[in-house]
Amino acid sequence: MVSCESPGILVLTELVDNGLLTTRTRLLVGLAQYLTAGLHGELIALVTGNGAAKAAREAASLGVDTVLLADSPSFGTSGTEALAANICEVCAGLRPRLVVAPHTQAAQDFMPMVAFRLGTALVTDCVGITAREDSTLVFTKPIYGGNALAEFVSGSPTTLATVRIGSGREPTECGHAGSIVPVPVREGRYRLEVLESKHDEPSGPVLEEAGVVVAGGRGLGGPEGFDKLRGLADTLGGAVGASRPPCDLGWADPDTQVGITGKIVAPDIYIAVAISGSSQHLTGMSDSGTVVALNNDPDACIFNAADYGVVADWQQVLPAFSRKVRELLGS
Amino acid sequence: MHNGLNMIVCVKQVPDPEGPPTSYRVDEEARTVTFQGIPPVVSPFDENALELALGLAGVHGGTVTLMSLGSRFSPAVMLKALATGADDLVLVEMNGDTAPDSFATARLLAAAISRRGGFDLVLAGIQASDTNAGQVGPGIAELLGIPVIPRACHADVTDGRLVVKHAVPGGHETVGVPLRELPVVLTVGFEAGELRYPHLAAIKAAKEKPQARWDASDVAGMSPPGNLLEIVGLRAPKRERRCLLIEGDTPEEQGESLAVRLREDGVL
Repeated sequence: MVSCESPGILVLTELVDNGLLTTRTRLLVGLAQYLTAGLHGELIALVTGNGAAKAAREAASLGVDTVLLADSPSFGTSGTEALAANICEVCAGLRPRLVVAPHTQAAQDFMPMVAFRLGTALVTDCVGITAREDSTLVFTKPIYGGNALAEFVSGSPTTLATVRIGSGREPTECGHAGSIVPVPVREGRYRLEVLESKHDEPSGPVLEEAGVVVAGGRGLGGPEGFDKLRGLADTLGGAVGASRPPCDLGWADPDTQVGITGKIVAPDIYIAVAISGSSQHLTGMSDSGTVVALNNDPDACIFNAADYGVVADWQQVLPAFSRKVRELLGS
Repeated sequence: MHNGLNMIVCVKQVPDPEGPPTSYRVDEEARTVTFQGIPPVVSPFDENALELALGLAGVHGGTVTLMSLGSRFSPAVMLKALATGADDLVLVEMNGDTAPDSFATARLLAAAISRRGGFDLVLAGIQASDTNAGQVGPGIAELLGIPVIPRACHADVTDGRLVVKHAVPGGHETVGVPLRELPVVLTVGFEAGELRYPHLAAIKAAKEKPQARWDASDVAGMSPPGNLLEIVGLRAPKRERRCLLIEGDTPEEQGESLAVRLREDGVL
């Protein structure tokens, strides 16, 4: 069991296929670094994965004091059990004040398991964590589908949180590399037999990490509309997203849903095509840099959340817009 | 040969999440949200969970029990859920004004599920549309010491096994559980499909179905679970932006002007 003299914050990391940390993990390390300054504790990262040494070195270079490296093939696709078991083990030894993970689908699966095993509080989908002067941590999260923001304080000695990508910050240079400590890996007992596993071929950048998102709504009228969005997304090196209705109607892959019950995104540019703008959708993209909305209804809620708007039929606007963008970008 | 699965579906009564943002009033002083002109409904993902259970019962037999924790239940909401084909209803009633957090809710529901007993499956939506926390399903599983299969899309019984297709990061996975190793918890999202609509006759007939009312403090026994989280602030989100509307004589012209403007402003 790993222990630590002055435990502060434990960051749970997420890796991309090339073995490096995801952008949202890096930004989460930055947020944790900022919070650690007020908590007077160590900043620790747990890097889990199959072949995760490279990510551990990256975490150590970001200003993490100690990187715990749990390298094992058991963190495969069905790794939720293994992850939960190992995180519990590490938390029991370290007793950190705060354990944070990026708000991902995987984290939404393993964090409640960890919280209930440890009997500690968990705040999911945080849009902010701040430390008061007395070092009490305050967790802000959207409730009622984003119609309200609630602030919570926790009565647990350790509190868990999943944090949105838009709430992170770039880590600051600290000039020294943290130490990397390998930790023993507990083989998680996966209690279910996997009969079939099907993974989608990724096309283009990952939605949550893309710099540009082109998203479509019910107003697209059918699955063909999404092919047109794909063309614009490819030009801009972006990803295609959707609001909930096209996913419910089978026009778009449910994995592309942007909203409180889908993916939370914060790209530099968010282009909303024929999306009316329900609260639960808006809260999933409100951290975006610039928001552009195309909709033929001038009263659509999306215009209140947009920086640029065009009130017209998207079928006529989009081809001209896409053509002009290609021309201006010289592609 | 088995005699079907005995299922408990956890359903939460919430204000209709499809209501417009103007129907939500945030009272920062009282730290509460009040609602105007929107009716209570069953939280949408709990409806999906109920649909998955009814589908299983329809093919393989078995029973479907609705269980709800809360206060001020709407008889109409609960009757409509019963009328879709569930067999009985257990209401676990809370007293007092403090809403239970995810931790307390899972503890109370796990205690109520244990008290009910004789179940093969527990189903719940992946998250409630009011708290947006997503902890109660996996929490119940941990407290009962049984596995959870998150984001179930489809379930079937074949060759003495419960076979569940569920969404995993970046794809789908199908898992099998021998029936003798049940119970398990399934959390369910919209992939499981919309809840069937009950006929008027079924709604009338639902009044005759068994309904139990349990007091949450009885269910909790000697140690009622307290909340781990305390709400200390509440505010309405500020996401208003000043929208520059791009004009033009034709939609094509508007589209071109938009591109030019974004380029000029350094967005593209």
